[in-house]
Amino acid sequence: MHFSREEIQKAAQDARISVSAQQEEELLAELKAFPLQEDFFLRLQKENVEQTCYGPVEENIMASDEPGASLPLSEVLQNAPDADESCFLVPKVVE
Amino acid sequence: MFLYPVIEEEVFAIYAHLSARELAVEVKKNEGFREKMAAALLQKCSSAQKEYDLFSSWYGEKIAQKYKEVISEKASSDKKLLGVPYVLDDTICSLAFPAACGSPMLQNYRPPFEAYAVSLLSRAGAFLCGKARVAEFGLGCLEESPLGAVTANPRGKGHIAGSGAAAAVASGAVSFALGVDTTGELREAASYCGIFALKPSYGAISRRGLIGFSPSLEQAGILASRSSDLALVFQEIAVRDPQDATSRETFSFSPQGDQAKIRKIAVPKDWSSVPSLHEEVKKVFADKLEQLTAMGFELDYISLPHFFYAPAAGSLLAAVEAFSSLANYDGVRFGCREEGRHLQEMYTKTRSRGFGKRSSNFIIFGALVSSGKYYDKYFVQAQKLRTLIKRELLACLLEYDCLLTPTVPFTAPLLGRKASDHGGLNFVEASYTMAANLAGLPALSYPVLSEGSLPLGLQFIGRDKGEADLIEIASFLKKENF
Amino acid sequence: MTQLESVIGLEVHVELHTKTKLFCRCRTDFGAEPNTQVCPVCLGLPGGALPVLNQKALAYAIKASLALNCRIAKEITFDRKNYFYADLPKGYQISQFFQPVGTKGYVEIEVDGKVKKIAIRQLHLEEDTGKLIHLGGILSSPYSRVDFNRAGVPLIEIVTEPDIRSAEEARLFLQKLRDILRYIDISDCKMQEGSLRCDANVSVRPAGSDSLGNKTELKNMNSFRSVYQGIEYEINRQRELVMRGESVLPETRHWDEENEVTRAMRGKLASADYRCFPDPNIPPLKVDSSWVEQLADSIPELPDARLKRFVEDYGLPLRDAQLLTGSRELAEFLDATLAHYRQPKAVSNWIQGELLRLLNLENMGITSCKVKPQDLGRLLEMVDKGVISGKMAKDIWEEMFASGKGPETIVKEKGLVQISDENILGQIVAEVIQENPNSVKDYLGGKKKAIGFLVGQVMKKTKGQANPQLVNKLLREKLTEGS
Repeated sequence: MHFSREEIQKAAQDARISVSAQQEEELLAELKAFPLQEDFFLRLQKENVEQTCYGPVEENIMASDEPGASLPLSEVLQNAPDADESCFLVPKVVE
Repeated sequence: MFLYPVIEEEVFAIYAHLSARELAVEVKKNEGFREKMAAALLQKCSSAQKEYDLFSSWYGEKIAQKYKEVISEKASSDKKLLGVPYVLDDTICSLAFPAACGSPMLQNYRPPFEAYAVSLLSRAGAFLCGKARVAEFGLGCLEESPLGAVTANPRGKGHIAGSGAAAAVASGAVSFALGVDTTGELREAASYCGIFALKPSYGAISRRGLIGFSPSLEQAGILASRSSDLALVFQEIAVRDPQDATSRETFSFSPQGDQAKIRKIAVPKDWSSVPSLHEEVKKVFADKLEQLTAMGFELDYISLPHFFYAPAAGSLLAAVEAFSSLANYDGVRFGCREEGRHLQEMYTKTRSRGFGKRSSNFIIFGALVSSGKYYDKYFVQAQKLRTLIKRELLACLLEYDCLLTPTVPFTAPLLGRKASDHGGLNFVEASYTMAANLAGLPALSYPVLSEGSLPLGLQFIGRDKGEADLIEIASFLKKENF
Repeated sequence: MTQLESVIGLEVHVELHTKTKLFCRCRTDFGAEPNTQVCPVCLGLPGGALPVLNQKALAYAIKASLALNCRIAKEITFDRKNYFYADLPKGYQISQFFQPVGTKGYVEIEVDGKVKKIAIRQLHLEEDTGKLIHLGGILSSPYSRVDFNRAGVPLIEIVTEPDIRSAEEARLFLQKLRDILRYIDISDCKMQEGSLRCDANVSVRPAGSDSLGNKTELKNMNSFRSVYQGIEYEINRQRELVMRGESVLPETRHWDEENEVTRAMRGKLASADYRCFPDPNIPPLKVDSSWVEQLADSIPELPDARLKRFVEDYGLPLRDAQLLTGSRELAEFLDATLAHYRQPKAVSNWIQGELLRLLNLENMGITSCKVKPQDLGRLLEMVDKGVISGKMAKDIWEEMFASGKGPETIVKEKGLVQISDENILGQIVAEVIQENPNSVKDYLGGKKKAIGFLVGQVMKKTKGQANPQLVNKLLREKLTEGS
């Protein structure tokens, strides 16, 4: 598979991960070695095969609209890197 | 080159020879046994931890006390797994232990809920010793770790175990382990360590409480030293969960001892053309095929043209799902955080530091192949390929009772190598395993142990909900000293 | 210069009033303490985010689709829309792209006396996000607090085709939509409280052209008035740009209520790549056709049909019918009253006058009104039969409204029955004539108005219970007799 450096940087940015020049190099190499048969994929594009997006699944599972337990506030915030007495805190949203 | 571990500890001898069923009976009827069992557990877990570094968190020296407490609470009622010790992949949530999942992102993370399967095991009386090391988020086998620790193989000095859970079972410290199998991880580790692994049909065991990255591929499975233990544990946890929409109707499961119903076995005719297949594995597998024929099984070599595309298709699909499923690691509600001048910078700094290299690369790979330009070219085509692989396997299993392959193309790699030596995104280790995850079919890895060489595994892929057939043939072959 | 026409499409989000969230069983109560209605699913905790669809929410979405003339999908799927923001716990929002609940519907509005169809492209279910609380303004705040109570609350999003041509049409569409959704009782539809939210895609083009100009997405319009004003402003802004030969930037703009202008939002120019794909955690759901039929049967008569019936069957003036069908409950009150007392205009007058007066006075909704429709019917019947006077009816009504008692009970308790006995009233009338010779003289002298005073005197003596028409008649008779 071949991707440009810009495409890798854009994908990394969309995933909110920064990529060093060295990592970019490694990633390019890994992608190049990826054993995807491009011809086969091109052929597949023209074939009318349905997509499989799920594991084997059965009948619908739905839930009735009956309230269940929520987490106690102490457990909600127990793992938060930054919080006040009732809310999670995040840095300012405007860049 | 390596030695089977000699089990010297005398106390340990009190449970090493017992199946889970026998152990539960002893614990139930014999209070004196419980005392000895607690002491044995302490000794065995401590020495295994020291030797192989398999736990990410466990009770440590409190384990004996804890064991006695927990068992005395439960001993009064009839429980099939009473006092049977087990471990969990660190990616399965329990209330008793943190779930770091092999990632700096989740160091010290304590889930405020437990996995449904863990609740069921607890109800059945099983004793959770601790959480076992996994590769970051359970992506592939544990060959390198951003947290530094890699578990050693109890049956191959200087080699990796693949996962802490496999080492825990292989060392005899616990009777069984519950782990996650997304691309074949559970079966691979079992193959490296010479134990049994069962990856059940997709949806047979609830995924609630599994910290995964690929919801359409992942499935909780069982590691054990005995096929009968696989059956016993599976029976307890293969229960439909109304809080998991992908969980399936509980199906009847009653393996009939060691009488194999399986007679007709298919083998992919191209099984030996996998590029990374090691000579040793090739030779052993060929021998085993001959043996099976000699035992009267009907073996056919059939053409499965899409089977070997599975690692590429699976890797691509899992990567896209991982890109999305790991987006909740954002430094807001849990996990680590690196401060930034504003929200988006905080995200990028947190995620760049929190994810190890393999996870990062995998996520970026997923973002690439699902981006606007490549969505149809790669992602959609991989989903179509998944359909073809699945159809092909289902058609094969209409005619044959199971499909047989090696589990992994090689034996346990040496400690200290990097996952990227195997190709990173390529999943060559999943050459034979990935197809079962894509099709959602059950698969069992059968251990082949021979003096003087590293263990390896044979993989049986069965029909949908055909777990009983797989366990029966495993029991039959074991009885026949196959 | 060619004429420019505006092209508008709306995206309307409606919060469904289910008890629990779309994919978990946390409550949706408004105004709860921050982060007290959250769980591993809606917080997106590792290993916890396994969504299970709320069946009620799906039922509501199907009802809405039916009421908006949509086709209902035989199978629906849910998809992940991936992006990072502080109010989005999982890093993706579960929505519907590939197989939404409803497609290809329409709503009819009346423009310049003509019916116009606004086509609905699709109606789908999705989860709401959490809420950010900025300290001070969004620009100056050094950090924000995040409350996830609202994360996962069920929404339906209704997307129209770009069929709307003016701010007024947009407002009419939105009001009609709100009326319909209130009729089927799936949402409070309060714009101020955010249970009805509307974004608008606005562009302009030469009239008659088929191509679309660059569009802006307009947000933050929190009332019907601001929807109208915002769109109106934006159309004019774009027109002026085009007239000057400048181009319209495709961007997201914010309606600034205070200054009555739209402003570009920063960093919203680039179109995001959401990488939508089916959520593997939620298998496709087959929509049972008999269930859809059942839901269709549960849909009440909708505003348009009811309006027509009120005019044609009840003979009500259009104004009355419009006012009464504006609220499902009022219209149903009218229907129920008429089932007992078939005088549509009288009932309509009473509802618009007396009922609304008291409801407004008490600041109450009709649903909490204690009066039963059949009791109103009987009250009006008693007036017709002369058992009580119109004036008495109003007093009794107030008592009915306060206590919920029937009119007969109140009449009995207070001894309020109207005196219509000619003998009794005749005697009292005779007394009054005797006691008020001056007024009698005035009347006979041609001051016809003087009779009013005499009637008043009779009412006073009977504590208001005399039948006023009868008193009038008797007085006239007696006064003429004497002359």
